[in-house]
Amino acid sequence: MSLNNLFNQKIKVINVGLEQFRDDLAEQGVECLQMQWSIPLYVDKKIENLLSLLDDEDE
Amino acid sequence: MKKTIVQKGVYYDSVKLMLVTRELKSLDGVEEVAVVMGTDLNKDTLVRTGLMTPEAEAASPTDMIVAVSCNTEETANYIFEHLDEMLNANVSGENKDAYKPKSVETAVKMQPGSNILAISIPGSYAKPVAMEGLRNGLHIMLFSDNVSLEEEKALKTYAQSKDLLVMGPDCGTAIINGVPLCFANTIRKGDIGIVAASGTGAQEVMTLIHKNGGGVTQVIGTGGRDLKEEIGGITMLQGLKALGEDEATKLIVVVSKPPAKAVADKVISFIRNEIRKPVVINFLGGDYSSQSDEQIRFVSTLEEAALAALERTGVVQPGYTLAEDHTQLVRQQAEKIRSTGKYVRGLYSGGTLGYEAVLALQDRLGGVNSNLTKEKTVTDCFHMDGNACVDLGDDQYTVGRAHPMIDSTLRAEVFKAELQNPETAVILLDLVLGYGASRTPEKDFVEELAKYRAQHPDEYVAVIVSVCGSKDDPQNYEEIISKLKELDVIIMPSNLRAVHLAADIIKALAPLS
Repeated sequence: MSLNNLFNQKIKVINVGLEQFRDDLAEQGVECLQMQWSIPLYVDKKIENLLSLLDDEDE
Repeated sequence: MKKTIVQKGVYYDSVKLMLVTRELKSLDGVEEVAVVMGTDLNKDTLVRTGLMTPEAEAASPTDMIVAVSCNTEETANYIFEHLDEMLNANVSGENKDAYKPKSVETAVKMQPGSNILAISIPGSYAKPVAMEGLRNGLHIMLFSDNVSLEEEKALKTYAQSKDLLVMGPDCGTAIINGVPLCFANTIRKGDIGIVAASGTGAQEVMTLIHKNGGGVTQVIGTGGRDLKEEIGGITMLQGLKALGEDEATKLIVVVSKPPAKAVADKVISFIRNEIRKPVVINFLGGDYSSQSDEQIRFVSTLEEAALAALERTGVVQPGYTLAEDHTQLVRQQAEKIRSTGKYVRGLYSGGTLGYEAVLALQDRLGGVNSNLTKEKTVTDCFHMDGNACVDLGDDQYTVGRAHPMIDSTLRAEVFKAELQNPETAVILLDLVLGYGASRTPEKDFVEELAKYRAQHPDEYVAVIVSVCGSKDDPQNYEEIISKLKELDVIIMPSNLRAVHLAADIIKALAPLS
């Protein structure tokens, strides 16, 4: 089945960002884990580009 | 007195900031207050509300501005002293000490069996988080906008290689296995599957299906740019394949704003060769009707898409329609409207609903100004000319502030301005219900309209609303309708019906003005 059989699974969500989305899922009895996120520290643009190349290599 | 503090490099989501702002506004002695991130759009709001100060002006988009206008220094100090407490207040009743993981890897260990990562952080930071989700085997619901096309391509290409979905970016709506994600309605389970490159397009179709007796299996959002040539319909094709294989789905509806021709052809070819079910396609703004055949029916509007799906699955009879003779209503409204009123102003929170409105208005009235067309003849929602439609959910109006379906502050300000604009005869509004949306979406409009009707009884403006929602949504559907009707708001059964009525009233006004 496509999409790793998603349509036959119980939906469990990890939420990062607006907590309202987590609250809405909780209201419906859907398991949802809220992540903590904050704006990343500024890094030098050159280093940021290098890091994102590493990221792309993993794919 | 005015006082401002700026907290540098903090992040709170825009909904939280909006809720805190509202709480502070209700305090005694507070004249005006804003707790916002320091984006240009929010700074414009500070200027408009008289809260701009040199400190606020100097803030960057990653700084939080707390700007207060109040009666005494003590009131201002009270606010600043209690601000952290309010920002970190637990509104959902969850365990305050519950650990929130900082990485997707940890989150997946904490919640085994997780299958969807929902992301709604600022878009310029979203890609690495989404990529981490994909590496951990999660499908992605990418609500964030302001993600670049290159990033979207990279995410979707990688996702495809792992048979995972990236729904987005700028994807507001999905229902997977009956679970509404982000902005989505409570819809009866049925046998119609939807794949949509449009959030409110999907919501309009699914709520019309529900209101007229049908139901859905899955609603897969692809994000608004999925059918651009650069992306090539990756998520659309994945969604079609999955719904094609899904036994519960008997018919598929495809909804999109105008796709790139090559991608439209690719999607149609895929359906003809790989899908063995009937399909209804609404490529809004395109004319594909000559390509309709026994399998694929091309329709021009969201309403048609819903009704065609209901008809082809046997829920309604052929010829079933939402159209009614509104000649009397048009005449009655035209006679009541203020003598200076000439134009219709559509104030939309849903991009696709707004776009459908532009197309239908152009069809009936000719030129319509909008930020939804290529020409983008509306660049400032407070300065519109002629017949006009503005999408207030557009990126221009949502950087650093909550979407108008969550926070109607900006849209209500525009509504107020249009009520007071002598040239405005008719105002069109979409009211979108469901999860993710404000629980009281009508509140600000009801307040403004009640004031206006009371203060200007001889300056009638017609207000026409279509409610995109189901009675099973968390909002109180009946109460909302009732409050609007008390103020002579005309409620129509679909966006298309609302727009047709508005256009016919404007046409009826022409000989009278």
